[in-house]
Amino acid sequence: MGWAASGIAVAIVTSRAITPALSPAPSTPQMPAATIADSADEPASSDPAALRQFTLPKPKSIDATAAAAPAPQVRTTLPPPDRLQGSIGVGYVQNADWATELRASGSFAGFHVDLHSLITTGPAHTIFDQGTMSVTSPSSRWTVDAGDLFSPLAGVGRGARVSWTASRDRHPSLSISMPHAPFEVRPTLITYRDRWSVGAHTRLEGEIASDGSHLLAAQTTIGRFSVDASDRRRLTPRSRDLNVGGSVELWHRARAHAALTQSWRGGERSRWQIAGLQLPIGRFDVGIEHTLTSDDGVHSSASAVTGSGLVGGTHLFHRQQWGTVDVDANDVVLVQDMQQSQSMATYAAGPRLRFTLQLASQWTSSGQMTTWEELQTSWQPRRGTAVTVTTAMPRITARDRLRVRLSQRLPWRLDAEVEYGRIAPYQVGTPWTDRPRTRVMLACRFDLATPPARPAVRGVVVDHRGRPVAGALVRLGPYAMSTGADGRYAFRNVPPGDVDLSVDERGLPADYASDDRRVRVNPASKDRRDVVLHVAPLATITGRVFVDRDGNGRYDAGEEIAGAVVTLGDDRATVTDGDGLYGFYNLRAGDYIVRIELASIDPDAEAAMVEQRVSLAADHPMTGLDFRVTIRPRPIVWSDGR
Amino acid sequence: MPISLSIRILAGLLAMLAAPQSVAPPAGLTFNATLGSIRLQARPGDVYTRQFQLSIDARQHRTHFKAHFEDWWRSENGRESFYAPPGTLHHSCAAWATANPVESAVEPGDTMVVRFTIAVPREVVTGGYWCALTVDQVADPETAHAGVGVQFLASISTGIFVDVGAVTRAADITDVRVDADRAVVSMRNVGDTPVPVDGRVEFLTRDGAAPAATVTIPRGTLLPERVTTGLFDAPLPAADVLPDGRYLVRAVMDIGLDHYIGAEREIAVTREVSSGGLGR
Repeated sequence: MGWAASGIAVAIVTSRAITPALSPAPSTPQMPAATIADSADEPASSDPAALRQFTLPKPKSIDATAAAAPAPQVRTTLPPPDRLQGSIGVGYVQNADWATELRASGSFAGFHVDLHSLITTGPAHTIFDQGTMSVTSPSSRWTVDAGDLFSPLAGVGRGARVSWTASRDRHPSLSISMPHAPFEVRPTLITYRDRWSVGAHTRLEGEIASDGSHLLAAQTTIGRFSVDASDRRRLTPRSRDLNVGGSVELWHRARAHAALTQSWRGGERSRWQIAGLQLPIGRFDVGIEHTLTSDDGVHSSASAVTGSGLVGGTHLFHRQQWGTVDVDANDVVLVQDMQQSQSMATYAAGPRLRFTLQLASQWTSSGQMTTWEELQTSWQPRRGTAVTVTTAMPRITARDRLRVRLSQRLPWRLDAEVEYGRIAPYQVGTPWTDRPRTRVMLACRFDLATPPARPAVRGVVVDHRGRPVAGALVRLGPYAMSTGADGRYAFRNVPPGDVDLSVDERGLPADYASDDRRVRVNPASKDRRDVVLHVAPLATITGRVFVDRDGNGRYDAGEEIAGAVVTLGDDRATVTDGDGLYGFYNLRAGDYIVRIELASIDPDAEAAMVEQRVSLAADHPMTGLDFRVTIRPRPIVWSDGR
Repeated sequence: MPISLSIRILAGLLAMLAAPQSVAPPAGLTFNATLGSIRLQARPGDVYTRQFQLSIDARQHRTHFKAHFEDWWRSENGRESFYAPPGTLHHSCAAWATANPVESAVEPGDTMVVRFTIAVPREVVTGGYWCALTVDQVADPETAHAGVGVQFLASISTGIFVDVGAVTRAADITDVRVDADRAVVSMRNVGDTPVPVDGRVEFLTRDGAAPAATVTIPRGTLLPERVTTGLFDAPLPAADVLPDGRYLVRAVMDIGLDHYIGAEREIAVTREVSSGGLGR
């Protein structure tokens, strides 16, 4: 409750002999206890009865300046601006290296921007380790990517790519890509890639590089069948990959698939074949597959069964694989049987606690066997805090397998992340150690308003003479704003589409009226971006009703008539006040008839002009429209007994 | 958030009765108004439009209302308020204000929405300006009779405060005393804008670190024009809480700044039978 509401209103109403059941009792803020010596600004007087003044600091939690709740108003809402959100963080891996990470995503001047970069400082000095930046035009007709790129033909590289929409069905791109060691060993390539959509179900793709490497790929869907094929030939280093695959949907959630991949590298041929079937059995999904591989004298055959489903509150997954490996090299043939099993169970003990248990085992006919058991516990004790603990099972105290990760949201848009365990360093190539170590990352989130680029709808609100009207509420679809001192308004960053533009009378200055006209505008249409809206100024008619007792034809003090009814047209009426004054307010320009109701004054009242015709101009109040009344004298009839 | 004021009309003297047929005063009128006081921080040339609603209970009669703006100030003790035509005060904002509709009838069960606008002139000296928005119940033309009569009509007012540019919010405590079982703080507005005033008066004994008693001063307003001084008072606590004696009496007042202002003096308090307070 504001001070003015409780103070002023009480005072005013009370003085008018009106009993106010007004606002609640005024509240008094909690104030700190004063200590004279510490708080006195002025020297203390030697006379204890003298008035000593001082000041006291005020706790920040008290807002004694808060005024009363404002009167209701129509809220101003504007289209949201473009925003760029992201984070910048600094990380450190104990005894290894440092990293600075920047992430950003959003819009800037209508362009969609995605940015991610990781700069590391360690054994390889300071390097730009990873990074991509993508900028898409407001119309989404073109995109520029820079940094780490991937292409099916050139593989992983670092460079730049321009992609554009040539037509609705064609999306070419041109890129330059340098090899990104240690992933690729090849020269810098300039590649042209084109993708076509043929009909609704067929995609074609081709890519050619400056060294003559090329790629052709196709994928089509016909009814329940889907087929894809690709042929990739690379010249540096020389290699070829041929792939054919297909699948068919047998019935709901049941699918059969098969694929063949054949590769040649340096005169060596390798082959990989797979066929499989996925079936729903009750609440479980079951998969069966068989794989044949052949690579440089090593042949393997493997079969596998996978199953997954939800039992109670636990999600289960299991894969069992068995097969043989034949090694036929240098006239030595080695055959070995092999079995693998992988199991995983995930149980959520509520929305904040989740357990995941993973088990893996591998056997070979030579007697080798390896196992892996791990328990991961994820816990969110409160909002903004997340803890993940990964341990061996059942030896949960094994320190070499312990991994703990804590994420904590902090004030001032900060995020902290601490991780302990066998952690990879930031820089690729930095040697790992078996000793557990700690990684710390501190990141600061940001959310920036950026310049908008979408169209604006602007204009001016004027009166009948073209003069600007300040403070008029203009509504554009769901948005609203008030005109400035120059009567102008401008909605920026308006989403495309037809919307209604109008003056909202609820927020129009009280001495104007709206014509209730709505203008249909589309921000994308250039001819409708500057719209003039008209409002009508309102005027008044005022005057006095008086009885001309002395017959001089004008009002004199004491001749006013209170309580006389004056009408305006057929639907408005008012009563004169104690000074005989009346008024009609908030009137549009036009012709009016103002009439005095003589019966409301006296049965013997007469007036030379009972009604007056008024032509009211838009911005000129009509004043002095008086009614002069006379009281018809009644004859005296003397009685006969006189 | 607008406050809802439920006004129960007792009496409002409009005119004296002399007509041949007497006009019976209407039964008590109850209406609701979403009319909280308005405080604006403005620049020259700014235009603000707000709304309020007047609602008449379905059991009431059709009622005629008229809104207008006027100047307002109050007496030093806050007991009386004075009204004058717009422009009477140098710091008046009444002439900047307009309403729509100015006059209208509200049918039983209906709600009237009145919008009003404050248009700050382009050429205006910085400082605090204020006025009162008053909504009067006026005679209904359908039942009105000319002449002099008595009608009991309703009225409600609220304050409009407009700070134009950078204002000086300042007040001094000119006296702290005890009068007739009431703690009284005298203050003077030495700034150029109305300030809200509330606070407390503490009574400390010579050996006591904590106050023996504390009196809360309810909220009031100190204006910078016409009557710039104000008396803010509250009753003393019971004599067993604050017995006769000599106290260091300390006033700590809040006038809406980022700090409190205070004043203190030693006063011999003698408890007497209350003879009434200054009122507010």
